[in-house]
Amino acid sequence: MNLIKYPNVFRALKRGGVILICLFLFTPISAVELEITFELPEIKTSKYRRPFVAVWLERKSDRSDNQTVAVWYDDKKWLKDIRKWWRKAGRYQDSLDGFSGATRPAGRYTVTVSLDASQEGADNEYLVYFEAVREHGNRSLLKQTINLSKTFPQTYEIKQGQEIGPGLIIVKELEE
Amino acid sequence: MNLGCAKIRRIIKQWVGIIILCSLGSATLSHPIWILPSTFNLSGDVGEWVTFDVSASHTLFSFDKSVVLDELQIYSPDGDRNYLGQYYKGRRRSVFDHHISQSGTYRFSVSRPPYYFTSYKSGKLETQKRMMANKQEAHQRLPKNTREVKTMSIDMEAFAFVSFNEPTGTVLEPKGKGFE
Repeated sequence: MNLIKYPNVFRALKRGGVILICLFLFTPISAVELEITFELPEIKTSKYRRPFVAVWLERKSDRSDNQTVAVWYDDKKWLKDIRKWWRKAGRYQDSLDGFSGATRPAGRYTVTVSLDASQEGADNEYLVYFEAVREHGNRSLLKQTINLSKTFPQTYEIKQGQEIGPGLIIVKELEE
Repeated sequence: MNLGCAKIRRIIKQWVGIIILCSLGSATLSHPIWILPSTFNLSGDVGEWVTFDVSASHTLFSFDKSVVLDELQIYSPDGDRNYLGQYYKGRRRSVFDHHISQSGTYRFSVSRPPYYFTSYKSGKLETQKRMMANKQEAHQRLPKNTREVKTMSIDMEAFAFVSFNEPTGTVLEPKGKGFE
């Protein structure tokens, strides 16, 4: 009741509350998780070899913050044939530990990566790349822009390429 | 001779293609040289052999005249000069192989000694004429009443770069010589 007696205090509190609520609503999400699912298509040929695969992402605005999510290969000699990945990321990395693995047969695979989403504007847009290259076969490069400034969860569908795809990217808020 | 050197070089940069087409001399002297490695980027832990085609032709990457590779320069990423072993010189192209063993960027280049070219106009019909001479030589040989005398120095070099793992810039550092 004292509040009525002191309207200024009441108003101040009310305003403060509104500000607090606003802060809560618009606190930028600091981290997200990308669940990247893709298919390695079954290719019927007598000369089938498992493809070399790379999945990586980079900030769209200035192509910085390059992060490799997965690279599957069997001999470093042919890593250069994952051409785009090799030139953008692979050749500058001292070690492939933590995200590299052996080549895999046709099937559906999921890899995850967490990403800082606290940038502003165009800096909060990322490109997700999928690249697969197969001996005696072809090379495919697919890419998808994801906008981390929009609400979550988000879903992006990636169309099928010759050597990789279709794919699906689910972007979720990372629970602290 | 040093007067207007920068200007001359600028002109050459703009007109080098045309000059090459117009200049006299032996066949390979007047053709631009190209070097084409079998691959530009390599990866892995152990070195690899790369093969190179070299030819002098008016169309890039078409085979026309083979090139003597005795003066081929190879620099490895550590800045050292590597020497070429045997190579094959056919009629239409020259071929050599080089073992790429160090991580970084290699430079391969074929150059020919710089030479001079003087153009001038003379006679009543303003005929455009030329001679392979530098300013001093041209001064002695030019007929009387020549106009618009221009001398150019022509310096040609063909490059190819091959990178093994991460590229490096050692071989790209300017040496303050020629066109860089």
